[in-house]
Amino acid sequence: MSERFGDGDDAVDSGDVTALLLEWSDGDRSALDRLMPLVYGELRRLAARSLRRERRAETLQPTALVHEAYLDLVDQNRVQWRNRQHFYAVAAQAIRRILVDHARARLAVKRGGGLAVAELEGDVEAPGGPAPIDVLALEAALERLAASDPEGARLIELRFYGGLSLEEISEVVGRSMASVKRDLRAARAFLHRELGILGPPP
Amino acid sequence: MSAPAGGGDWAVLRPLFVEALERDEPGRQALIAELAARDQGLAAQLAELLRADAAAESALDAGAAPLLAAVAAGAASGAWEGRDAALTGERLGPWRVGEPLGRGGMGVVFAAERDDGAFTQDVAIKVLRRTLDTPELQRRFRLERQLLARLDHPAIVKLIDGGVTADGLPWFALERVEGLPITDYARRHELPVGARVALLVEVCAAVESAHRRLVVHRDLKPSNVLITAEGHVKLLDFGIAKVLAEEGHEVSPEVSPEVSPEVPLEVSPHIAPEAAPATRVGGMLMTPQYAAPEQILGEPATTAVDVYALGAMLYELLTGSPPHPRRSTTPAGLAREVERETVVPPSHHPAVRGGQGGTSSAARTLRGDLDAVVSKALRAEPGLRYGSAAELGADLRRFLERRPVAARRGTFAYTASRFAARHRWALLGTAAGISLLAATVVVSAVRLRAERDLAQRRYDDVRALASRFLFDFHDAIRTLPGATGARTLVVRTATEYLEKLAADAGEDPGLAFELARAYVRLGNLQGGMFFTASIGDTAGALSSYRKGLGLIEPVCEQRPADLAGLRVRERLVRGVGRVLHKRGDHAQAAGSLLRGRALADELLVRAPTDPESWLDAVYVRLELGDLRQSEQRFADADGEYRDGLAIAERGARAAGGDRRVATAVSHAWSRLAWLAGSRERWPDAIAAAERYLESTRALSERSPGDAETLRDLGVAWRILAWANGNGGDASRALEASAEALAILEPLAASDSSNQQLLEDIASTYETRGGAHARGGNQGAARADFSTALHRFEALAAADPDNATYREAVEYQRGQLRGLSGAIR
Repeated sequence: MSERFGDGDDAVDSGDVTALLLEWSDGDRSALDRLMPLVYGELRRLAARSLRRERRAETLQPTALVHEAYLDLVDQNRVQWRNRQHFYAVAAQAIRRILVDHARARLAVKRGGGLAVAELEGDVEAPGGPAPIDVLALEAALERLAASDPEGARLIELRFYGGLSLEEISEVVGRSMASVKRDLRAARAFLHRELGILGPPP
Repeated sequence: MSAPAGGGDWAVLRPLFVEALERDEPGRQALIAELAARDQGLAAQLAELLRADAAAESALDAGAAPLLAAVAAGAASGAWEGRDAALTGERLGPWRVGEPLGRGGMGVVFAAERDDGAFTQDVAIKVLRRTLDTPELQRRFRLERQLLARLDHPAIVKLIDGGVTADGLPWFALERVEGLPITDYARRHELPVGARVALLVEVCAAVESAHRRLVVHRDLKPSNVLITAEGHVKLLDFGIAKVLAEEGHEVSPEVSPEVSPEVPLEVSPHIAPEAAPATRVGGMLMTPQYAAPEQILGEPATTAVDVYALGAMLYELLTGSPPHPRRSTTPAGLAREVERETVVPPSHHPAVRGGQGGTSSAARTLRGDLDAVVSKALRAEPGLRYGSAAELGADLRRFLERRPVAARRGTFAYTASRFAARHRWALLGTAAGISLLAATVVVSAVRLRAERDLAQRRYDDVRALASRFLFDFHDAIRTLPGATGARTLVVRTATEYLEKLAADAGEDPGLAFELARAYVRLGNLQGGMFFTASIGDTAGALSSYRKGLGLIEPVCEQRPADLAGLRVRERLVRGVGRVLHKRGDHAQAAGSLLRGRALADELLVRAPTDPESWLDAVYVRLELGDLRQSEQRFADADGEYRDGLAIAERGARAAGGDRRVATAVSHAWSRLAWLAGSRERWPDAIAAAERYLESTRALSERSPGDAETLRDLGVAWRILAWANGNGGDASRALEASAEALAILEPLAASDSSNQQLLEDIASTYETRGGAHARGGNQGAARADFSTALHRFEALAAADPDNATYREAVEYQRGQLRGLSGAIR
């Protein structure tokens, strides 16, 4: 006559991700390929779960998501602070992929016909906030940036998709905050221009 | 807007921009003017860049948060990645896309026909859902496609063409096949065992052919093995097949795709399928029931995984369901399931054994050779399986020809071997390892304190600690022999750590909540369930539950709307009641359980769609009923159990067939049977026991091979035996006891420190002893009661606080005295 206990949180295996993170830090580039799907999957899962908990879709902070994913996926006893920042970089990439894939998929639906389409979720707008960004336009612009300024593109990825602070970014890339700030500003200007976001003429 | 800055432009513009930033406004204008003298276009671009820089808080500055929310909304509503391409009517290469034929884990399949006027050809076009776009993956896929195109076997669906859609989604054109999945086909045509085995022999041949060309399927399952109307086998979906050759080695250039020259392959740099490792798609296996353990654990796949999948399909062809339910949806959960798996041989499978025990002819056919073949294909250790699909096919042919099968040679056990010991020992570690864990946890807590966002990290700390390091750790080692010392250490570590944190929880409701939750789990570990001996520390459990209550009650007062807090409180209160009952303090236990019931009912009203609410409402009543029985208040107990049953039945409908709620129904029946027996109303007891058995059997059919469900089934047989033994048919009682032991003993053999099972088995001997006694067979009765006595004595020694075991020991002694006048 068995009973059941309370508390049904699932856990995720930290062994894989920790090991891959360490390998990647040690210079094994292919570890990133293997790391990505795990992080990607975990972030999606967490995003869905966060939403179920909060029940309000207004904001879902990337940093909170990434932080939670980090705690879930990485065995903190085995990695150092440096590796944690690496993880954040991977997570930023994963979030970027999630958003771009999602946008592409929705675009495919809008352009198609014939198949019955399930209800599209509404666009989420922060009331009174800036116009929402066109993810695919940003992605195209980011790729153009990466063609001549890969470092700048990486900084934007960490900032926009990963939600990292200036300090955290400078730790990840291993440069001074001042130089990161300058490069970010240049990349931001580039992207704004690509996206048609301009301030008033002087 | 002027043209976007190209690569070369940016290289020039960037340093100019940076310089401009360092100047004031007049300085910038001067710079622009200078530049204009040399290059008007560039100057205009620089001016624009500066305006872009000056733009106020934009969506780019806001970050991805609002976007994530929209995506998460889609994920939560299950619409994630459900946006399949709508391509009907479009053209892909030479093909005109028709209606969708179906949807799979990786994409949609459309009917399509050749449209370039060359000739008619019907194909199926599979469009994948995602683009994967790193150069490495593209390269690997090109390699794979070359090899896949060379697979040329009548039983393998041929890859004809491929490309990428306008939106960048990869597609494949495949030979179109109409047929049923092999298991459906077998069922529809009511094929006898021999015919099913013969089909699988053909499948083995096709798989072997692919293996010879170094292609592993890696996702074999019934829906990928179709049988046409003519009875031919067709294997599908080598779409995630992976080259067996080592990664990084180039396949020699002489290997070129032998594709029919009239059908040009569209080679595009963007083609890439799911080339992620194993079958992980975003970390989760799509169909774990046919996946080999090493796949689930993330190890590199070899041809052995296909052999395993063939074994799993064979198992399903013979019994109607795959060998293991593998319910978890996380990699870690699956890994844990895999490590505890045992295989119930097909001849022992409930679906095969038929209803009333005894051996059906189907069971006899399966017993022996086929059991051995299946067992050998399903070995957890890949090295112990058949070396190839061909070997498996050969043994199956031997079975069909009634020749001896190779699988029976040498020694083997009916239960598939557990996964390598190295995994278990890695988890268990040493006692030193565990103290180190405690130390690092404290250290990391200190380090974290130095960072910002302290509160958040504390919660995460507690959650991480509570759920992962301690409790999953505990679960992992719970049933290992010799783990008692480690388990105690785990509990002690948890207790100490929680107390450290509790000191700070006063001003922090979030932390208090997390701690209270952790105390629920700790208390459950310490005190166990009513009929279970766990670590068996009732005093410790009580203390934990009370500490939890001390933390959560203020939170509940401050936040009366917080359902999560209410649930934690309810579970703590029930825990207290349970443990008090176990200890014998009936009056106090009643108080707690009644309070618990009120809380559970409130939760049910406020969260009626959550299965947990239903479960809590049912189980608190079952626990109350148990208490009333102990108090000899039988009518009250009956009322509680019936209330619980009614709620469970309603809940099973409301919660959409949630398996746990269905289990709760069966538990309610078992309680009613037990109660009726206590009141000596044997016809009622037998009737309830039959309902209990029926509901448990339904559950075990839903998830065959699942140890927990099997155990429930074994217990249901025992209860039926007990009811019949006392008030009905002694021979039926003996039959039912035999059924119970036949299920429980193999389970205990492969899980030898699982005390719950040991207790169940001891009780079964006790029951059978009673049946023998009633049937007049004193000798057999004495033997069974002695067995039961020894086993209960061992259990009582391990858990001295447990009143149930003490009583059981006394009961056996009493029975033995009654039989012979002296205890042997």
